[in-house]
Amino acid sequence: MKKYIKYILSLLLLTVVLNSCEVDRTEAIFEEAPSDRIQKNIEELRTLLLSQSQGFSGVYFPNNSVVGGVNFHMNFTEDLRVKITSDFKSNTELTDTRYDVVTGTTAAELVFTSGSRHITDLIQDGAQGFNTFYGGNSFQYVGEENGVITFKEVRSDGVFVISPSGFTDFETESVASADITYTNREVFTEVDCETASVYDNLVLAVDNAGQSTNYILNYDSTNFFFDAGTTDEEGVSSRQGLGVAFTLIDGEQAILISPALEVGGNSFENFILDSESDKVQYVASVNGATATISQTSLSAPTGEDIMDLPGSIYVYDVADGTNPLLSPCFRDLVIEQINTNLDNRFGAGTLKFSFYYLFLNLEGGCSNLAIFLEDANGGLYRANYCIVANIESNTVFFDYLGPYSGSNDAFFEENLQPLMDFFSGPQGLLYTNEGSFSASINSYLNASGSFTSLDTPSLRSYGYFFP
Amino acid sequence: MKNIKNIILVNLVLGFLLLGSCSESSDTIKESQIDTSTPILSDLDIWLRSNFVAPYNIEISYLWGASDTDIARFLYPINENGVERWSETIRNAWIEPYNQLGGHDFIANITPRQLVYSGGFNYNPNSPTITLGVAEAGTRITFFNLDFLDYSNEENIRQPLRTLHHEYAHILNQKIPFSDDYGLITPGDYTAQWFNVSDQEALDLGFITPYASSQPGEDFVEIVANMLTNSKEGFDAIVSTASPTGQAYIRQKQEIVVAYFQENFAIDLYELQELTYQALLDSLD
Repeated sequence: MKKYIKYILSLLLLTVVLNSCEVDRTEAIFEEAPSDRIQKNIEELRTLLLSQSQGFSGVYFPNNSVVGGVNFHMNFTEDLRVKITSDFKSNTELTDTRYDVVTGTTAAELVFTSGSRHITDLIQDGAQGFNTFYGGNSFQYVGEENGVITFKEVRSDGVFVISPSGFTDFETESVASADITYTNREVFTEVDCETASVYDNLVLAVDNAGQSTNYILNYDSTNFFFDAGTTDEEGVSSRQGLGVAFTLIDGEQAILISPALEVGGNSFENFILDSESDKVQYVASVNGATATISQTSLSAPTGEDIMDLPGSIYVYDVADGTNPLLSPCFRDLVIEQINTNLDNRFGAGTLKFSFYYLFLNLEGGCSNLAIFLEDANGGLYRANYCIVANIESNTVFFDYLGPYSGSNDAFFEENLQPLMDFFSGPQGLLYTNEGSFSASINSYLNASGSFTSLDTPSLRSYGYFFP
Repeated sequence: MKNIKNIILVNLVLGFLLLGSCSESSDTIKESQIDTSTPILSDLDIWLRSNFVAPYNIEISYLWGASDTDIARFLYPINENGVERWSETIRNAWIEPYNQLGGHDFIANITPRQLVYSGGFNYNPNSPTITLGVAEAGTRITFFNLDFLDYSNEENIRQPLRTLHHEYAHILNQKIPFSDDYGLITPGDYTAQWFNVSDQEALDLGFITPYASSQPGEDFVEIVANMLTNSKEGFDAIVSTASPTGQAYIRQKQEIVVAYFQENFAIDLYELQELTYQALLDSLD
């Protein structure tokens, strides 16, 4: 009996002693308490932000799956104020607002706590209705390496990378830099509609040890975004989105894309303007391979899709937003010209173009081009016009016969003539199926298509079909 | 017995040794791990402390990050240049009138503890509407789109003040509920699809606004909000555009609202209306 009592006593004592160590074994993993580690993280970021008397410069990609990047210049001071400029909009004047470094969910966060428009314009452009660039005002501190500080925006997975500005006078040089990069961004959007063609495409050409890969780039100037499409040797097509930032790298004009383009084991990200070229082109060189972004003339499509229309009612609606397939010249020379005509006749903003339906008839009768105008109170006015289709060599020709029905038709005819002229050009239109409809505001499963004028190849309308 | 004593002794010695080895990694608390340092205060912060925190026990929250709000919505804080003027406006058009009629500490006793200022719009997902303000648990009111205030435009300033009076009436209702009889005046016309109801349709059905037709609680506070942001003549003019039936319903509701304020808070709502509307006019450029 005594023997058993000895064993039981021994085991009980050992269990008590060993259990008392359990908590400490877990604690030994970290040298500091969690709150101390977070506080240290906060102090580290505060010190970094205040370490540069001339501030930081960097590019913020709020959401590189749908939009591009914006250049920022920021100078932080100890009284928790920050001067900021950016090139998101043409007004690059510095703002002077508040910031803070606070405890985030897992790390220190840099928060722009009062509303600098350079930050808030990316979050929500309220003046333009609900229109976000997916930005935020709270940024998790990821880390610092060689002076480069990386942040992550929680909501949209945005990436913000800043480094010392290198300026000698932040106040003037930051604004000047933002003005330069803002202007550089226009290089892909300034188009001479008289001479341009929608078949002059931006192309990203990769030359990797003699092996070439070409990506056709549709550039969305509203969202600074490339829709890059390519076809491999086996004829398989693929597409990917690339956020774009026009920036300066070591003082040279450059394009930064995000995510980086991976081709043949090389990663292309920074494209520098080739100042010796006689045309605008940006070049990235990695491990002997080069990738070049430039305007290149491509052959026009065959137009045979006109024989395979996915529906009979074709719609273009301004309210759906933009798509690279809707050419800027179509917006300027057709839609905006109609709005100008209406303003001149009825007063500014009284009526504006809203949408058109084209009820297609390829059997020789009238196709009804129904144009809808909207007044300042949202009231709609419809006018109908007859255009007769004739298809030859995969090109569709429309003859304009005049008003179709209703009293509005003749009343508005002169004002709406640019759209009738677009459809009835003597050299005809090339039609192309474009897959499901996608635009910056609305996207639908409906099949879409584009009509390109062969008289003025800079004009291309993009819309969707009802069956 | 001697053996047992030896075993206990050996174990105790062993235990002390092991416990001693554990003691190095234990965490001793030497000072607070919470940051208790005094925050950096701007002139604006000091002004807000003097004019809202001290007299009314109300915090004005105008500096905040995404994680302080609904992260699913693209919201952002007000531009600090607009903070002082909007704060003065609500003090003059809300706090002072209530205090004047309800007693010196009326607002301090029944008040939201925090007012949050948001610069941008609060768009509702999957709905063609925006949220103008939010009152949470009677302690916090959030205002939206304050960066777009235009003090030269009466209607533009009326809107956020209407939001304030609307949300504050909710807080009063949380303290003292209104009579269930109110919901029986137009019981069949409340609808979750209120945003499909036009202004005129709402009036004809006996609601002062389309949002009032969403539920009795909103209906009640919409009467309050619209009375306190219009003159008596202005409110009567709105009601007069309703159908005869609609006018009768709205007047019945108005009577209950006026009685609610008189009986529960000894406030003459018409007198309050004069003060709040005059303050609205005085806030304009």
